[in-house]
Amino acid sequence: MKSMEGGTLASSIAAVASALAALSCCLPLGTFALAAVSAGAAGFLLSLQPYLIAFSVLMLVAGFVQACRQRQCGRRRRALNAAVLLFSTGLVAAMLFGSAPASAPAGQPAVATLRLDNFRQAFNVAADRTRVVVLLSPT
Amino acid sequence: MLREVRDPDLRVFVVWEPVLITDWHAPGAGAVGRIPDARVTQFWDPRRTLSQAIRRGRVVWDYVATYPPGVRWGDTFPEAQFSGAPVVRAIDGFAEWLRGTRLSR
Repeated sequence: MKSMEGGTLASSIAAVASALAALSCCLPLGTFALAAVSAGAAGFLLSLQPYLIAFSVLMLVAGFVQACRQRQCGRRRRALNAAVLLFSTGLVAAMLFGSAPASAPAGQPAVATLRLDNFRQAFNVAADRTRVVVLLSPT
Repeated sequence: MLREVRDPDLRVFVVWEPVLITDWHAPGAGAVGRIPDARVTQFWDPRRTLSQAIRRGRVVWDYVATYPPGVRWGDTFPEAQFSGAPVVRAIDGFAEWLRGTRLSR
């Protein structure tokens, strides 16, 4: 009895696995979704950022390989693939290339990435003046 | 608000930091361009190091603080003369602080 239950469970797992394999063959949605989620998470999990970005790039490459191999899929699925692929690539590209701030308005020094020592120096250099410090989120 | 302050010696440090889930990139031209005053220096702080220096263990954001002449940053970040958050609520207090100084005259 136990071996029958075990066999049923094994065949269920195999069925789910083959369905997932078939789905991921025609629609590498999971791979691209993982790339997008990982890229998004890299924005606020700062200590893990390099690893998450590397994982995103890896997932994108895997997704591209999967997408190139899918010759037997229908047109609609290919269109969906293309949309998901473009979105994921855009998100990862924004993470990789959006790390440089925009240029400052005229008359201001360039927007620099803050290093605490440099900021402390700038704060203390202006110690003979009134200073205002504002901390804001870009969005 | 800065337009009301005529003192050319005022220094304003605007620090952009990622806090919200949508903050996965540095500030764009739209954000940086909102503060065109020449007395301002803007920074991008992707690791929120200044926030940690001001209040260790808590994210300090949407925050304004003022420091009078003579205050220096030694071992720890100095106490502000006036501070408040979020900025939209602190703005009245900030304006009052400005009126109390000679900066806006």
